[in-house]
Amino acid sequence: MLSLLVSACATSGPIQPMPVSTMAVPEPVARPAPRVEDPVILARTDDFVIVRARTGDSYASLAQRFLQDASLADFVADANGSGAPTPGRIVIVPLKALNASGVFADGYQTVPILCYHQFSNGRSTDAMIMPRELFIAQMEYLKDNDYNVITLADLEGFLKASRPIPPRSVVITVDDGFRSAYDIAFPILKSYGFRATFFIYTDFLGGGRSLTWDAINEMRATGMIDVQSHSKTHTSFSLEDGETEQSPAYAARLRTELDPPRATLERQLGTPVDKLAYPYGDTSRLALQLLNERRYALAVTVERGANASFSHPLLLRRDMVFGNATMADFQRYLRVYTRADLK
Amino acid sequence: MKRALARLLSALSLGLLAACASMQAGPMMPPPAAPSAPAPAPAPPPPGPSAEAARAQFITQQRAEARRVEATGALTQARQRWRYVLALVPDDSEASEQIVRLDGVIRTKRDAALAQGEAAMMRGQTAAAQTAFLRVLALDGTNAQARRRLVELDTRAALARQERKDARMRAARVAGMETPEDEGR
Repeated sequence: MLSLLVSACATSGPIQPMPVSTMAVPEPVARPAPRVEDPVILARTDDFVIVRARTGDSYASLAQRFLQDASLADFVADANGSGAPTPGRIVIVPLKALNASGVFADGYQTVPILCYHQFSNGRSTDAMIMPRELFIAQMEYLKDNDYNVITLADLEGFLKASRPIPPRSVVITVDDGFRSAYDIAFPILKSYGFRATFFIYTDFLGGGRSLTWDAINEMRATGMIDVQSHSKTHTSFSLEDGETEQSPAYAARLRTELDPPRATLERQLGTPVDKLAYPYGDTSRLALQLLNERRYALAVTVERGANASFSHPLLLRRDMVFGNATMADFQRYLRVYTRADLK
Repeated sequence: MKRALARLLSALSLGLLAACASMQAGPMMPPPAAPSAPAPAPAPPPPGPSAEAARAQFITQQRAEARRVEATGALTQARQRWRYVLALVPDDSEASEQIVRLDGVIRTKRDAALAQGEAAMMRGQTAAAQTAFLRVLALDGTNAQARRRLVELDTRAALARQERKDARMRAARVAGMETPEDEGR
């Protein structure tokens, strides 16, 4: 959608500088003062707009005005070096990423996907359970260090080279559908304004420790939480003993793990489900084929590492964040740029 | 946090500079009229010297930045800086010439890297192939061939990792042991 909006902003013709003599002269008619003055456009091309900032402008307001997305403030800021768009300053607003692949002469952008499971109010000896205080400290770290939490849909745009994402982008996911994701993680995510995807395996729902549909609907209504599939029974997609990639039983097993939960989620949520977290992060060639046939957009494993624009969208890496992770571990997961000499 | 602090300091210093500039040049804060002078006309002031100065300074900065980033090997960024200049000064012959020159350099280097990548693929040298195709994308982010090859290499590596993991899991099951992967189960 952003690309369409961006296209709508752009002119189709060649570079069209605005005449200097008319740039800053308001029309000589009485009209109500605008709430925030519009920036003066000095030049516009298909790829960028050059404006003179006015009082009240910020990178967020310029991103909102020209890209229809204030969350791309850092994308605009990066084109302008240091400094805020103070009144009178000439500012570049890129309408497209200079290099949509995120690959540059000194390296390439990567997007880490963090993976959580359960949460607890106190300490836990189970590594799969994230203590509340540690989760807060990690979210605080993201905020304090200018990470941009984006959605899987944003990442999808990056992988298709159809949509810019800000630098230092990170995705947050929570697997399984434990009740603690609602009781503990959701209020924290909401307080930081961080959006996340919850991957749910549908056979788990209805149990005492699981999310309820009411809780899911409440979280989705905020626009902060996207809910996607984590299979039906949480059985590994890897070949089990006695199965081969060609065996009908294996294909039938995978179809059972893919189709009924997708139908259930789409019926309950009323929105398309096109993203999957492989149970245990396990996949196979047949699983890839079935996901392709079903037009899944993204699927995530638990192979550690961050994702470049050329990562296979159905084989995305994620970093599981364990409850005993140190802040040094957490910082190590946040690989947002891979340095390489590409000159 | 450092980045935020740097931005804040920059913003403060730029704000101070802008305030000084407006005090000197006056378009943001015109000097008060003499008591005996008639009331000033309501027409807003046209862009004054500070607007022109800001524009000229911006163009000068873009030229300097274009040369600086080209020296670091960032050719597409350099070309973009010249495009900013040309957008503001359409008859700037230097900007036009630099863009044409950089187009040529970028095309030549891209084609060479593409050929190197394909040759490395033929020889099964995946690391060299990946670096070569990344160089193509650094020069031409929309290059479909390089992108296709990089996705292909990434897919091969991911499936190979999965096959190794499957083998470890099978071996562990046979031995009745847990594997490191069990931690995530």
